[in-house]
Amino acid sequence: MKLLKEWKDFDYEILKEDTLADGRPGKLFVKGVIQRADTLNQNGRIYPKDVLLREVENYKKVVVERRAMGELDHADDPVVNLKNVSHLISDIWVEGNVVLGKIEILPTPMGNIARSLIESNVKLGISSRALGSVRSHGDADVVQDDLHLICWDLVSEPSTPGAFMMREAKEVDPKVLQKIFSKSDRVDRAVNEILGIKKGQV
Amino acid sequence: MGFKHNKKRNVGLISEFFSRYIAGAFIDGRHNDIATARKIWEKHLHPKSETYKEFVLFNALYESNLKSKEVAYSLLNRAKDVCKNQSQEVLDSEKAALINEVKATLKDKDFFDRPVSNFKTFATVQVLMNAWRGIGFKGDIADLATLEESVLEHMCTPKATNSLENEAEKLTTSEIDSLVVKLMTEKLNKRYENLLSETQRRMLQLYVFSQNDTEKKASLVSLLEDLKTRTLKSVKSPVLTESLDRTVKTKLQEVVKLLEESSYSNILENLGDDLIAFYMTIAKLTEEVESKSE
Repeated sequence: MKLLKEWKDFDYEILKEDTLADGRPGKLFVKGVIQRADTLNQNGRIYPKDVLLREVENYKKVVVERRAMGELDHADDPVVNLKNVSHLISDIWVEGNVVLGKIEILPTPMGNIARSLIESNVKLGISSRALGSVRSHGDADVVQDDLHLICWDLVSEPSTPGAFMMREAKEVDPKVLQKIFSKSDRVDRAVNEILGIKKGQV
Repeated sequence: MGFKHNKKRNVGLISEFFSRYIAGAFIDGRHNDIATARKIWEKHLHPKSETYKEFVLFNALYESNLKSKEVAYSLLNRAKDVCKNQSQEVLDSEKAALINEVKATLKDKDFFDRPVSNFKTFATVQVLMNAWRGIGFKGDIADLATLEESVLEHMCTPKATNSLENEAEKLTTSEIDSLVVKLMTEKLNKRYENLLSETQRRMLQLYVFSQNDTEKKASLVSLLEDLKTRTLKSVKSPVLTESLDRTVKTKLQEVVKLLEESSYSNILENLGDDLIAFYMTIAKLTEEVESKSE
């Protein structure tokens, strides 16, 4: 099982809440496409639609529970480091082959940096972090059924656009899944699969 | 006509024994044994060895498929000249080392007892080669000529090409089924060893063989019935429901309903791909629910 990170340019729409009565700035949200299915991405990988949709469905529980945190900049660990958290995905949905997200920028040290960058119109990228395996299919690596989505991070643009910059993936012990996902998450994932079969989605 | 033949020192047969050993190891998934056998072969039959040179000559005689007896005769004579120049002493010592290593390393007491079709021709070719070098042959010149004539006949006999299709046609349906099942099981286990639990693997194994085996079918039904009972008990446990949030609890209730629905609860009547797919996911759920890890 490998740590799969995907870089993607992030074209976002800024949604800003009004300044609060005590003068503190209102919440800042960005909204846009955070991942694409069935498309060869910039890292040479393809996420089959059924696999990605299943993961989004599983991730919705994390979103509802306000645990869908992400870090500012690339992380090399499957566990989200709270010190580096900059944002929270507050809504996630699928339209056709694209996954869209509404991202709340948090008033954390890293969140404040992200906010400044966004308010300064800095071009950011978005990078998914997941555990799973891939199989080569021609020039592409197709992500397999064992995918476990962890989070999306806000990152800078790659220095070599168009290159397969994150194709090399770090090997990770599958036991780490027990650390990342709570029992409730794991039960929810299993239940989603059963109900997906019933609805003919799997 | 009197001659001695030792199958362990017949270079053609040695090659056949290695081929059969490697094929068996491949079907059983003994990849280390394949590598070891290949290593032994390459070590003892490297292009500079006398045994390898003898093997090339053997093949020239055994594999030839010639239409003209004159050409076959010419080839036979050339082979005889080369063969006579081979050192019998070196050949004996190389083959002894090979036999010893096969016995000591592969530890397969049946290695040299594998049946080989056309054994008689293999033996004739080797005996003739030995006779040319003046060993193991007690006949006179007329007997030697008879032996040569027999090999000559073989060289000119039209041979069926041993294509995979021809070989496959010779296999019976049950042999093919067994081979396919073995290969598929090996591939499945390799690919899903970290993804499938013991229960899921057992379920698949029983399901694959349940069509023609009533005992396996009964075992499968019993396994699924037990799993259903176990799951219903686990998901209704108060300890579990306390640790889950409302959304997951609601979803679990839907699973309970499904398990009690006739299409999933009447296992024997509905046994098929869909039911197995459903119970594969149920097995996963039960393992998560019963897991002690929080």
